[in-house]
Amino acid sequence: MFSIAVNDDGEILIAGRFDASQVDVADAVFMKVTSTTRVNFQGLDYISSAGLGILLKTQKRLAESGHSLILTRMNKLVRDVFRIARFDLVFRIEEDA
Amino acid sequence: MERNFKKDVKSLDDVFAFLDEEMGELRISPEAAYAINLAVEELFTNMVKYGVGSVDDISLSLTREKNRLTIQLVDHGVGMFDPMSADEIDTSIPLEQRKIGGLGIHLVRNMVDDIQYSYADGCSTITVIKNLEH
Repeated sequence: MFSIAVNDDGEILIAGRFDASQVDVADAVFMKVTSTTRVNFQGLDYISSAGLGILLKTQKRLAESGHSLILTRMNKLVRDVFRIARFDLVFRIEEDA
Repeated sequence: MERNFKKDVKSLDDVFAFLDEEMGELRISPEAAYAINLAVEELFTNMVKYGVGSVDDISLSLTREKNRLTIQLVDHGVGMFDPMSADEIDTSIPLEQRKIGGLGIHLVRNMVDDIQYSYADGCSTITVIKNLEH
């Protein structure tokens, strides 16, 4: 299962399994982002290249207006995928305190 | 154990359910399970995307021999297409030049121990090896 929601602070919360079958659902939310936005990964167990693609597309679009996504609360396994993709060079990833 | 799945990205829920069940029985660690889920998803979606000309199911099997897990995906009735023949992507370039194409295969290459492609009688077969710690 995958879920995506936006809380009252404008933070995007993603949870479950972000795989290729969830691209349209996620894209509908990320397409509406127009300024710097935090994405909370706390409940996210899994992401593949399909999910990374949505994030990359959003980051590129936001960068044109000087904005970006800030990724937070990633678990170690998801963090490893970002590291292998070298997406740690492309995104600001906040480590847990 | 082998199972067939409809060649559609919507099959992924069933694919993951099958993998969860099989890997639970085979006592696979969470780290190895993540790598296997990702490898299967990336290779399966590649077959959905590029295995045109056939509506036959994709077969998926997992076999454990001691500390070695073998995963095999077979796409039936298709032309030859080796996803591993693609050039390695450059992950060091800046954001504006980064592309998503090839990223899935890059992840698979870095998360499993071996990948082999073979083609015979209209069937594309990808065999993935993941060495396990225990």
